[in-house]
Amino acid sequence: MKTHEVVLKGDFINLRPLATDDAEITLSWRLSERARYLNAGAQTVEAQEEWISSRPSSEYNFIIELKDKTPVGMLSLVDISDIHRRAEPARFLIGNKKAVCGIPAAIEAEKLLYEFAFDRLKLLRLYATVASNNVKVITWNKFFGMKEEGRLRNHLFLDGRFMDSIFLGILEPEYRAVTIPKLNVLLHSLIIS
Amino acid sequence: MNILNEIIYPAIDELGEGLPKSEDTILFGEGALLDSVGLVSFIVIVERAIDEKYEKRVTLASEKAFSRSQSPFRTVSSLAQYIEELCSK
Repeated sequence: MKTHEVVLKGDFINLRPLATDDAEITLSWRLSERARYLNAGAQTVEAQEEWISSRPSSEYNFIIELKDKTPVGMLSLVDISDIHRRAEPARFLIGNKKAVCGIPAAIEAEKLLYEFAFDRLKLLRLYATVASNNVKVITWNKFFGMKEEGRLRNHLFLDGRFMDSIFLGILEPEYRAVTIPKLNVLLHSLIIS
Repeated sequence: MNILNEIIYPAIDELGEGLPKSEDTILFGEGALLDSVGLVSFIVIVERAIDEKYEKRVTLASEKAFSRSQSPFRTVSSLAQYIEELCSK
């Protein structure tokens, strides 16, 4: 069972709907070391299937897959509000790093999701809450134009302890002025190797 | 200006992904050890190091990278050459 019907196509990867058939692979990614800064979730394939099948209509959950359909990661747009015209990109996880070394999979996934959010859903703001010691993801979000808007103290319980969460956000004009050029430059300059 | 020893090799250490400290190391593209999340982290570390070491604020992912015939992010050597050009202007 798919969580929705939206497919976003890029040059290197596609974002296709997360489905209950993806329970086993997504669970293995979520239980890996790379996911230690994400909120704890299901611990069994059955629980992961149930979690996938219960995704609300206010979310789009995607599998990042290579053009040969190899699944390499996941990415979601959650807490979508038509009233406030905002949403949160979330659950961004490259599960199969080996398969994407040298391929701008994460960059194109970001591009496709931002285009979907700002151009198709006509949202005006995206935001993210990231564990304060998840330096890679904070760096990633800031690199593509998100600004730090605040720190939520002891907001998360991860790795057996409470930690702060960094609140980041980007507005639609900033997306057009900063994110789009940066994504395009980076994707192009990586293609011409 | 010794881009390799002053900027790139320390950045490789800071990144901590086990990249060999060699001019031939492939950063991105076929045969690379980095994924694009790692590459972005590396670019940010290098930009900060240039600012700290040479007091120059450069943006590596800019139109200048776009207009080149070869990707400046392909190897350590091509990145060093690109940085040298940016810093000499």
